[in-house]
Order: sequence, then structure tokens, then C-alpha cells
Amino acid sequence: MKESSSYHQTDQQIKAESEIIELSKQDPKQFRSIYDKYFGQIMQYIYNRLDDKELAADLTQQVFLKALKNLSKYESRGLPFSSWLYRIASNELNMTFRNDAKLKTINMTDGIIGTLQEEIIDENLVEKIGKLKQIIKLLKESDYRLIELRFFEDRPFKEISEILEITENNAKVKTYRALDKLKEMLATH
Amino acid sequence: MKDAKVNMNRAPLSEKDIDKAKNFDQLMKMNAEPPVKIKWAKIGGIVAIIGGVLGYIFWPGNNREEQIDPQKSDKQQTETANSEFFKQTEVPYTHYVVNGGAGDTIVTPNGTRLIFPAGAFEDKEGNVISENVDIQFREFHDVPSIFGTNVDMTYDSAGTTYHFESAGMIEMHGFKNNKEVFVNADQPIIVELNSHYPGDHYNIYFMDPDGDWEFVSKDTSKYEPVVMIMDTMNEERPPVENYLVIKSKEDNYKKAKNELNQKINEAGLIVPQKANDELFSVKLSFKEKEFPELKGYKGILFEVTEKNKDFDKSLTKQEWTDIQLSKEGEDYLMTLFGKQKIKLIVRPVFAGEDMEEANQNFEELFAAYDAAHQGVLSAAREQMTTAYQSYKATEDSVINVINQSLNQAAWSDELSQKAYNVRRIFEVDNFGFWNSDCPQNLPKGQEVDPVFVNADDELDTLTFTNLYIAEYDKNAFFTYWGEWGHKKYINDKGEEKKQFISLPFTFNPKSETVLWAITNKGELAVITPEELGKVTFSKKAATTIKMKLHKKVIDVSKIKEAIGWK
Repeated sequence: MKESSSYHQTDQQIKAESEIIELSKQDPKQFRSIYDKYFGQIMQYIYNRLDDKELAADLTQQVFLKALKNLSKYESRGLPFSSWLYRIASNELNMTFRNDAKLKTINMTDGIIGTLQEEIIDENLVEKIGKLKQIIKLLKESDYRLIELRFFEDRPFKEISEILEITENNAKVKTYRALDKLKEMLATH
Repeated sequence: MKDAKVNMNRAPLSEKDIDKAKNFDQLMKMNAEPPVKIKWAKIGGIVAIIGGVLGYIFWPGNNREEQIDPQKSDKQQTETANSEFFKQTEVPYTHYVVNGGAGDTIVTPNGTRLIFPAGAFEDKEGNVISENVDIQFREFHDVPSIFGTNVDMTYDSAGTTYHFESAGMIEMHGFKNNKEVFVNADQPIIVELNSHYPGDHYNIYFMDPDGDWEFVSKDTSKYEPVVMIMDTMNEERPPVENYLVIKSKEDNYKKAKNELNQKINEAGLIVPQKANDELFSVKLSFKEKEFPELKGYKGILFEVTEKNKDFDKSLTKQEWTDIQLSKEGEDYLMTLFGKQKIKLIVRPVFAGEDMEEANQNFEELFAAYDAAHQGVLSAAREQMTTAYQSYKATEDSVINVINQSLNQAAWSDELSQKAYNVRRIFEVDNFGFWNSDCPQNLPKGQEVDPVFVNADDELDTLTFTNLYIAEYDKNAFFTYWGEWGHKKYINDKGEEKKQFISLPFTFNPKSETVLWAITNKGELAVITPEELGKVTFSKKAATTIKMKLHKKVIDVSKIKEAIGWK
């Protein structure tokens, strides 16, 4: 299991970010640094589940608009502000898929296959890419979301729990159950 | 997810893509204005992007802009109205306590069985809970309760949006010391949902944490009408005498009757019998000395009894030279002489008009004999009467039971036709919503470009988000996502504009269709099938739909009443 995240932030960084958020509550223009910092990350996250750059851009703008409009309700819990943005993005994707399931997309990369290989412990996983492409679609959306956040997005469980509004331990249990399901499907299909 | 497109090694977004999409100034502008949300709606197979003004139908007559009430165009107001509405109408939870270590079975007031095996719960660390767990439970069986709880009943499959027709739905959660607990996947909870709808075309779906319905399993319905009704019958059936007791009473009665007849016979009396209209009888002259038992009777007829199995009816038309009457045991024998000699068994009977007099004569003869023989006949008659009353009382109770059983069987048939006790059985391995459903397509037939107005004031155009449609013969409602009425938007120049907007919908004019919506003032706007049937639809112009406004819709029963759901 990975112990560090590519998006990991120090306590000092998180504290500095919180101060910007507090300032932004009074003056929305202060939000620019947060916007600049996370726009690309959130857009990439959304684009990973879509096949349409323009739609990804529109939804990302909506995510930041919602965040800004609801900033007064935000309370820092010692996590990067991006956790909150991911939560909003996740909800936006849900709404989008609810209205048009055809938009659902899964983007696999060699890097992702490598991560899965490490987690599933299957040396031949690379050879099974065709099978994996079919099988991963059989996962429930909620299971895929957990795997995606944990293994593709490298989010710590604490952040995943914040994003999905579940407890940290529940996030762990559910993520590994989802991974077990994927393993089982790979073995039986 | 099965319809998801899978890409392999697609290029990630470039810095250029991201920079192109970023526009902080636009964000600031949008933040300063009411939100113009990008929303996708699927209507009649056409995907319309509802952003700015694209995809909206513009109400003819630009001068309407002046009539716009800015308050009505506030999307937030509509959302707040919806939220406040559903707060009041959602189905409340019922609370149960289940011991995690021992497990339990709960039967809800609707008859749904919840079977919790021992070790059914675990905490967030995955430890099995052996203490008490508070269960929050609610179930939904009709459109008003599902709508009133604001449960999204749309289901995406193969890129198509379906709407669930429900055979029943539950929501269940577990808590220990106010902290959420989870279902132990190794010991799932078994739900036997008491469904009000028959049929085996309903599948089981679970609403995942993202709010998407996921297919779980095919239908596992189990019909139990006979078992349940027989149980009820057994409980309600009045006490029935044992068959042997009834038989014994009947035998006593028959025995007493035979004894009386024997004594009457020994007394040389006959019991007057009424003539049978189906049998032939003849009036004969006889000497009373030869037949003393017939003494005093007037109008005696001799009836050819059923014992004459080969009786030829043509004999009644022949001429006879002589007739003789004699007695053989208890029977009378009538011999006819003519071209042939015929012997027939007959019995003395009386025509209706002579019957009363014959009975009186019999009673006089009976009393005279009884007086002369120490009441032997009256004693035997009393014994027979007592035995008969005892037997008859029991027989009546038997008849009552038979009738009651027949009534209950008819009731049972009626109930089984309505299939009130179909059990839909499934395993619950996650807390949340579980649904027994059949996906349905949006109704088709009549396409309408509507303008929804207040039925009591046609100048009052209604503003709302989401239009709901239901047909009375289906336990389903269809949601048209979108906005109707007055709306603010920002044009290309960044200027705020107000416009009337509407989206088309379709319904089946052959069905009893009811439409409703929650207005931005929190009223339930409804048009019933009867009123919808009176509307004339135009292909070229928008159609005015007059909706009755129901205020104070505070619970599911009021929704039922407003939309006329039975």
C-alpha cells in the first residue's frame, strides 16, 4: 500500500490554505490562488471519467462555482481543501451520469495497470488488459469510485472518507472489498 | 458501469487544455449572479443542454418579459421550496432494537419480515457487534410515499434512462450509540418484503452511496396467499362438534323415529302423508273393516310408490275390469285386473286440501290409543323430538360452518387475486435503499409543449423544477428533469435577461395520466386525468395546462388526495 500521496500536503501548507479560504469568505477574489492551484487537478479527475474536454471544463467551472457559493459553510478539518472540491466534483459526475449514462468513461493507463498489479498481486495482469477492460466495467460505480480515488488518484483514506462522506475505516473496508471483488471477477471471468 | 467506455492510455489533459478552460473572471461573474447551472435532461430521446437559453421553448409574445416577477425566476427559491416540501412529506422512520449477538426477526406493520442473523452488524473497523443496534427502517409501497420522500427512481442502463415501476422499496440503517454501523457481508440481513403487486418481472436494485441504482438480482417473489388465509380461517372458525358426536346424535334421532313409527304401526295407525305431485295416485273405494287403520280418513288416495321400478305410465290409460287392495306387511298392494293382471305397491296419501283434516284425524286416533296404552305413543314421540332437536342444533352449526367456510373461501379468492401477500426475498449486505422494481420507459403518445398556469388564475404562470407524470394503473412515476416558468439567464454579453422557459413532455392519452409539480411557492400543482382529458393539444402552438394548486400538503396522505392516487 502506498503511504504517501502525490497530492500530500504538510500541516503548514494546509494551515496556509485554510487562511486563504477564510479570507475568500470575505473577499471571493482571494479564491484565485485556490482556483489556480486545483483547477487542473479537478479537471483531470473529471476528465478521467468523461471523454469530452469541453464538458469536463464546464463541470470543473461548476465545481469551483459551487465551492465558492458555499464557502461560508466550509470548515477545515485538517485536510487539503481539494478533498472538498473532489466531493463536489464526485457529486457533479453523479448528476451528469444520472442524466446520461452514456457519458461514463474509464481511462486506464499503463501506470494504473501497474498499480493494480501491485495491489492485486497478479504478475500477468498486463497480459490480461483486454479482460480487465471488460471486467472493470462490471464493478459498481461506487466500488470503482473507491478504487479510482485510492489507487489511481492516490488519495489517502482520510481524504477518501471526506470526499465520499463516510468514515475513514469504512473507506478502508469498502475499498479493499471493492478490490477483492475485482480480483474475484478477474479469476472467475 | 457496464455501458462505460474504456480508453487505454488516452493522453491526459495538457497545460494548454487546462489554461483554455480556466477563467477566474468568469467564475467571479457567475458567483455574483444567480447560478446558471449546466444541467442535462433527457426528453423524448433528445438530449438538450439546458445552459443559457439553448434548448428552451420560448413562450410567444415578448411582452411577457414585463410581467415577470423577479422572485419567481430565482432558482434557489424553487430548490428551497422543493426541499421544504419534501421535509414535510417524507415517510418517517420506524425504530427497532436488534441484539447483534443474538439476531432477531422483526415483522413490520406492513407484514414485511426482517431477519437479522446473529453477527449481522459490524463496526467501521470490521469488528462484529454483539450489543444492541438501533435500526432505522421505512418502507414504501406506492407512488405518493416514494415521491413524498424524494427518492430518485430513474435508472440508467445501456445509455437509456428508465423510470422504476415499484413493487415495494425499503430503506434501512443501523446505529450503535448514535454511530453508524455496517452490515457484515458474511451474515447478510434477509428481507421478505410484503409486496402489494403481483408478478415476477420485478428485479432487486440497491442505491449505491453515489445515489445510483445498481441491479442486484432477479426477482425472488414467493406467493403465500393460501397459507396465510388458511391460518386466518383456523383462527376465526367457530368451535365445531366432533363428527362422531354429530353422527351419534343423528343415529339417536333415527332410532327414536323408528321406535315411534314402530309403536304407531303396532297401534294400527298410519301417519298421514301428502301426495307427491310426481307420482300417480288413484282413489279407491274400500271397506273400513278390512283396513281399520284407515278409519276416519277422508279423501284417501293410493299412490304408486317409488318401489315400482318398472312402472309403465301407459297403464294409467288402460281400462280395467277390477281392482283389489290388500296389505302385505307395511305395504298396501293394489292388483289391477284386465287384459293383464298388474300388481303395484301403493300407500295412502292425501291431497293438499285434505292434509290438515287427515292430520287432525291422526292426532285423535293417536291420543285415543295413547290414553288407552299408558302414553306409550306420546313417550316415544317426545323421545324422538328431543333426539331430533339435539341433532338439528348440531346440524345447524355444521351448516353455519360450511357457509362461513364458503364465504371465507370467496374472500380468500378475492385476496389471492389481489396478491396481497407476495413476498419478495433478498439479502441486504449494505444499509441504504433496496428496491423491487421494473424499469419502464417514459410514456409515449401525445407530445406537449406546455405552459403551466394556475387553474384559478390563468395569468399566474407556474414556475417549478421537475415535472412528474404517473398513470393510475402503474405504480410508477416519471420525472422530467428541467425547469418551467420564468427564469433568469445571462446572455453572451454578460447581461442578465429574463425569459419564459418550458420543455416538452409526452404522455399516453389512452391512460389515466396525472401530472404534478412543486411550485417555487411550495404548492403542489396538479392536473388530474379528468382535467387533462379536456385539454386540446396543438402541434403548432404551446398548450395551456391548468393545474390546481394544493397548499399545505404536509404528508403522504395529502399527496395521495391531491393526485387522486388510490
